[in-house]
Amino acid sequence: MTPGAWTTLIAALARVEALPPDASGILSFGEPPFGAIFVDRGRVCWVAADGLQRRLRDLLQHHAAIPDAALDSVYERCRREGRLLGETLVAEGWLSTAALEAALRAHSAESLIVLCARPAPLTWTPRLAAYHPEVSFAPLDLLGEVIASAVPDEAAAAAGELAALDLPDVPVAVFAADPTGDALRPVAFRDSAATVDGLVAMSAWARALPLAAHELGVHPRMALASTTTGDSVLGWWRQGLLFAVVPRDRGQLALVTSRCLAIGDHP
Amino acid sequence: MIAGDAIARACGDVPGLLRAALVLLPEAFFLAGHGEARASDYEPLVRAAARCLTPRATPRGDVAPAPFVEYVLVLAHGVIVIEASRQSSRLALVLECDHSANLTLIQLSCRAALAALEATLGRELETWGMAS
Repeated sequence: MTPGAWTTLIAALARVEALPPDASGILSFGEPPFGAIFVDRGRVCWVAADGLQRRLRDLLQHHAAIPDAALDSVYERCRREGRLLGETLVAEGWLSTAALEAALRAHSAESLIVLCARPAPLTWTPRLAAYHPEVSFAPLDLLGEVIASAVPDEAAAAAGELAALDLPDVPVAVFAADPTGDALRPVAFRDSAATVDGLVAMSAWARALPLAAHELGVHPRMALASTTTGDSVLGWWRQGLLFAVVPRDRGQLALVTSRCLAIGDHP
Repeated sequence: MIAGDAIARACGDVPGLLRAALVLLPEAFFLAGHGEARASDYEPLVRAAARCLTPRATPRGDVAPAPFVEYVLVLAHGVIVIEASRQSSRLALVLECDHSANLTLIQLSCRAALAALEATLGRELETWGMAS
């Protein structure tokens, strides 16, 4: 994905996230639309992109123990009756709800990657009635899925570092710098209260660190920023990635600082 | 008072001080320095201050946005502290120290140095329209 595609992706997901919790409707890409995010009560229930209609069928078949002929039959029946293929497969016992969720999550991520590949205006069209889908996703969940799909090596490196740090209760975000991009690109995050908007704010702050390091001609092992109200953000570099933590209190700050410095110099 | 004398005096108690620069923001204008022979040698410190102290919101949703006023960069060979004035949003002090003292002591002494500079130069900066 290009830096521009990441920017579009984050803008679209942040826009869904900013909707009221009871909002349902369609966020269309382009004019005329070449795809859309379907929103059910503030959550993403479906992402459609031109050219990927068959892909969901393939993903569902990958997860379901269903022969080709039987899938074709169910598929045609769903088309005739206007029913949803995935939920019909679950209702008829071909697919578990967990497998449906995995397939829809993967399909949504792939569709988002396609949709965000070209710059396009976003248009929100509200809908009075909710869709009431079997499965839906928080925007941040889908951002994580796109990251895992688009930059798996970076996501794995970040996960490995986070496991080595062994700080399960500490909110953390990991970023990579795109050379031509103005902002940092999220690679991993861990915080039950995190939002796409929160990650954007975090990346805006963290962007100062590589810029300052570049100006100084140095490679900091760690950086700590504090606000007028005493809040702190801690950042450090590992494997070319920037790790950023917003400690909940001074105890967490001290713990992360010591753990970070103990691990040693960044490569 | 000459700004160079003021910065030398204010930073006198900063442990392991290698150099310091007083910066006017957002222009990234070098006001005075201590520890280097030429003004151009302070340029990296001045530009780093401008990069870091561009206004940014606090990246945490449950607290009111507040500006960042202090950056501490821990290097293999030392520490760089970038302090924004709490009294004037246009004034910043950048200090480079060695590892001879612990981080907390360096932080506290850098804050004290800036507070001393604010007290010494505040009125002069106001006269020249450089205070916010």
